[in-house]
Amino acid sequence: MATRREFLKILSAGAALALGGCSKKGDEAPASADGLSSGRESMTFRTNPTTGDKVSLLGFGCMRLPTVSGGSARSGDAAIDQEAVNAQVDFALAHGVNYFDTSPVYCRGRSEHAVGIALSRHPRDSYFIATKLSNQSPDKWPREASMAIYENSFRELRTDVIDYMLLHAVGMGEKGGMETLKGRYLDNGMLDFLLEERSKGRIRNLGFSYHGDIAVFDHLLERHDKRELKWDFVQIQLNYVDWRHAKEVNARNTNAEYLYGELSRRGIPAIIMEPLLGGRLASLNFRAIEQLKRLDPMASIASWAFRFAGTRPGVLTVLSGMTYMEHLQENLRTFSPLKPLGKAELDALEEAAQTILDFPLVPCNTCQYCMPCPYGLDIPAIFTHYNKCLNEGRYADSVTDANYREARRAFLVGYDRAVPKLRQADRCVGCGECVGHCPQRIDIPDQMRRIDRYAEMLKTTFPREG
Amino acid sequence: MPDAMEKSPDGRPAAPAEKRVGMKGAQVLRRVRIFVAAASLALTTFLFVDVSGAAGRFLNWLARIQFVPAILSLSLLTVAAVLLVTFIAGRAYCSVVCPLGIWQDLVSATAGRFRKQRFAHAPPLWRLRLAVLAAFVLLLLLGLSSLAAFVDPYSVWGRFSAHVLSPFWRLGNNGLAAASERVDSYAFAAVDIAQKGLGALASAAVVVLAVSVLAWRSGRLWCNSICPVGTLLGLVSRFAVLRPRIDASACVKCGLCERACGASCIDAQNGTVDAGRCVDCMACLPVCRKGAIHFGAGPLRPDASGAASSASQKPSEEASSAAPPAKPVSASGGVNDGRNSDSEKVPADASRRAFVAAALSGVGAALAAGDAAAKDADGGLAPLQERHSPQRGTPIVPPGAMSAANLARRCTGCQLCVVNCPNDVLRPSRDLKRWMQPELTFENGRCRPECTTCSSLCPTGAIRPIRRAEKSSIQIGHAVWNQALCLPAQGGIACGNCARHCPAGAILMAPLDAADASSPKIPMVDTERCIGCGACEYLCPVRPVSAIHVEGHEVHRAI
Repeated sequence: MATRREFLKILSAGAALALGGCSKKGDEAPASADGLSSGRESMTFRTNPTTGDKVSLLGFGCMRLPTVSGGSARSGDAAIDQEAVNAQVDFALAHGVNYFDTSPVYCRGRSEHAVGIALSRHPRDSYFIATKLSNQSPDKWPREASMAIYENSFRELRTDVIDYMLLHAVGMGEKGGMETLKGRYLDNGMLDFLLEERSKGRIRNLGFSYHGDIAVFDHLLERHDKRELKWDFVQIQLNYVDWRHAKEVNARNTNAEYLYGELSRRGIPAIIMEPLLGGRLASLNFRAIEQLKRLDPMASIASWAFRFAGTRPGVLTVLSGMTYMEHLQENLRTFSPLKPLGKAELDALEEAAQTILDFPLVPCNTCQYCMPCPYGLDIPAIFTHYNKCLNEGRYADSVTDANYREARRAFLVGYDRAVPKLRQADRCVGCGECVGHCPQRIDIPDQMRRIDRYAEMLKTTFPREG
Repeated sequence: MPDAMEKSPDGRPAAPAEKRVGMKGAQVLRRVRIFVAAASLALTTFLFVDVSGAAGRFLNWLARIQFVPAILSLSLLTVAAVLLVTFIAGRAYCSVVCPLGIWQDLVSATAGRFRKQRFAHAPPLWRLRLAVLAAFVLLLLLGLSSLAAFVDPYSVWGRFSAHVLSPFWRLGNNGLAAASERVDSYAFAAVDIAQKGLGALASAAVVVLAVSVLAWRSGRLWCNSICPVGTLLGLVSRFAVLRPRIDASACVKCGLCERACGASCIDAQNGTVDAGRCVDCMACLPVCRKGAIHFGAGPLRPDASGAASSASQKPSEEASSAAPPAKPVSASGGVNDGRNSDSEKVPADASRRAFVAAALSGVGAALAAGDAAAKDADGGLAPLQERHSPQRGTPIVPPGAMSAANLARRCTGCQLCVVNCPNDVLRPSRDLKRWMQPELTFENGRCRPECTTCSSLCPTGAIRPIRRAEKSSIQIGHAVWNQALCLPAQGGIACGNCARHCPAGAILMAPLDAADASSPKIPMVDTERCIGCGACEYLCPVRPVSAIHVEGHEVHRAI
């Protein structure tokens, strides 16, 4: 009963910690409260070749603003905590962050308004506003509807000029990337209109954010090459996994190495989104953590992803969606100033990327869109438990693994804790009701079967004696 | 008396040995007995309440040395050993092995704190004892073990532990599980506490309550007037070599020993001990102020020093002590409240009748099988309808039982298998002929292929030990498909969850319309390969009753 002994050890250790806690606190506190220099000098800035903007390499992503209930406004209905938004924006500006990226659809349509309030309290020339023409829904494709969205952004953001305007998420769409692009921006003349607005000065930089169908990306750059239009910047998904393994994450994605290469050879600045791959590069599996900790035991796991994104010189800014002040402070530490990665570190991250992919994590971020499952399964809870075991190293796919006994108990006991028995993976009948709802395009029934097979293997294979 | 022993110049070989079992020895003997009995009761009970599986692995033998299980499993060696011990040392079995016996001592000792010296000699109730024993043997011979089990002390205690004590233990375990979850430890896992039927609870509680009432008032009255094991062992212990013996030469007939005797088997007036009813509790030994009662092989011989005086008395004393046992001396018991032993018998019988009646009503009352699921229907979770047990033509009995008949013949319904089933598929039967005997149902789990827990625990041979490799080849039943409920057949939904989880590969998904390969696929059960494990029934999404269910087999087959 080693596990029981361990448990008691933890209990007693916890007690000791609680007792010793008071005296220890003092030593651990850093010299300054947030560990940051007070000014904006140490922030790394990049220059926009078109307008000469000095843009901070850390950009403030406004899609996960804090709510009064303590969570992020992306996932809940709770009201946005304007006080907290103001405080974060103030702190960010004070430490050099001057790029704020929002959209009419972020935070269930409330992001622009909140950001507008927070920014309008500062001189207009102290920050750059980026927003998007988010007319993804087909009922917004008509010119009037799209115009309404566009004009509304100025009102919400309390400004006459948008510094960075993007065609939002081109390459996506159920009818195919090209068809959707036509419907949203070409046939209704919105692209021409935006180009016009740029020449009028209401838009200072025009670009697009790209996901999905590579044909759209290539098409838009081809028009740039033909000088039919000029892109001042392009927003792409870039991180050390997507750099060379985008297809392994999601078959419809394209390697960031290609995307960035295409932009940099044309001299178009790149703005980076998903530097953490939807947060997944902030909490890795134990083996990848080990690899990164070997590089620098003091550096946070997330900092490697940010440094990777910021290292390329053609990157104008790296966006990070921040909910808590601690996120902001942690990111400021990484970017003030950003230490570019060397060859050895880039190689190590490539190695870590492979380790991450070797571990069959389910790319679920518990958005709950798949729920409720008509057969009562708790899909996100099942994936979360499975990923947790993988990330903690409590995973063994063979009885010969040294940690089999421990991994088996942790998975099975934890499984029953996390998910009621009658809502576990073995209940999936494969009806496929959920598949269409998953924004990550996870083949949920297939994953359920895989997890069920794993649980079944653990149940039927007893650890070896001794 | 100690003075007399110390002086013994003569030094006959028997004397020193006897001396050791004097005043001090008596106290030691009693304490050892109490310690062993307490440990035995605690560990036997632990076997029933443990949720870690450790007890099943290491304390299994405690169930196997129980007398009735040993007889039912034809463990002649165990039976012979118990009888031999009884012949040598009296009913030590009743004293330190039988959990119900020890429980009565516990109750009786508690009562003794309020009323000291409350016992008195009473004559044996031979007619009742022999009648119960005869009925017990007859029921066993008729294969009606479930009825015989009402008076089997081991299984009475088993049912009590499983249905009354175990829930409390599990509550404690779940508290630890919650604590360990908070510190991210996996040392303790939560377990289900759901009651397995009111009938089971009532049947368990009523008998033990009745026995406890008897014990509170009259000590080991149950053991000496109803318990068939007590009667049988009593027939042997009458001739026991080692037993409490009263030295008539030293005895002053004060009656202290008689009043300490929970078995009411000491007749102080006549200086006799009925070894057939003595349960070796050793309570009488230390109370004697004259050292006149001892536990040994022969009479405590008077010492040579006092030989002249005591030797002359001896013959007459011996004569008086030899004569009385045969004839009734109930008058001597009249000194105390001991006579109520006769009236006790009535409530005992009455409570039994009440308990049978309660059991009968329980059959009707406990019809709704509890499904532990559907607890948290908050957030985005679809509510789960409660699962009901299907009407089975033939009950399913666990693999290793070999046949329904073998189980019915041997099982005492002790609940050791039921309470230890890790997959929660065993339930005590509510059918009176199989009362409390285990049967399978699949609302909360399935009989998993790697599990052999029940077969490894059963002390009576009702469920024979099977090996893990053997398990999946024992056919305990077969699956029956119900087209009227099946999702693909009725709703056209692709499912196949039964086929996907069948460990025997006995379910084939085939088009509903043989001519149209694209028609919904329905399960086709190959009953030759089906082992009746219930995976299909448990995992079928249809509620409240599965679209596929298992029918038991009267006789198990190997496939």
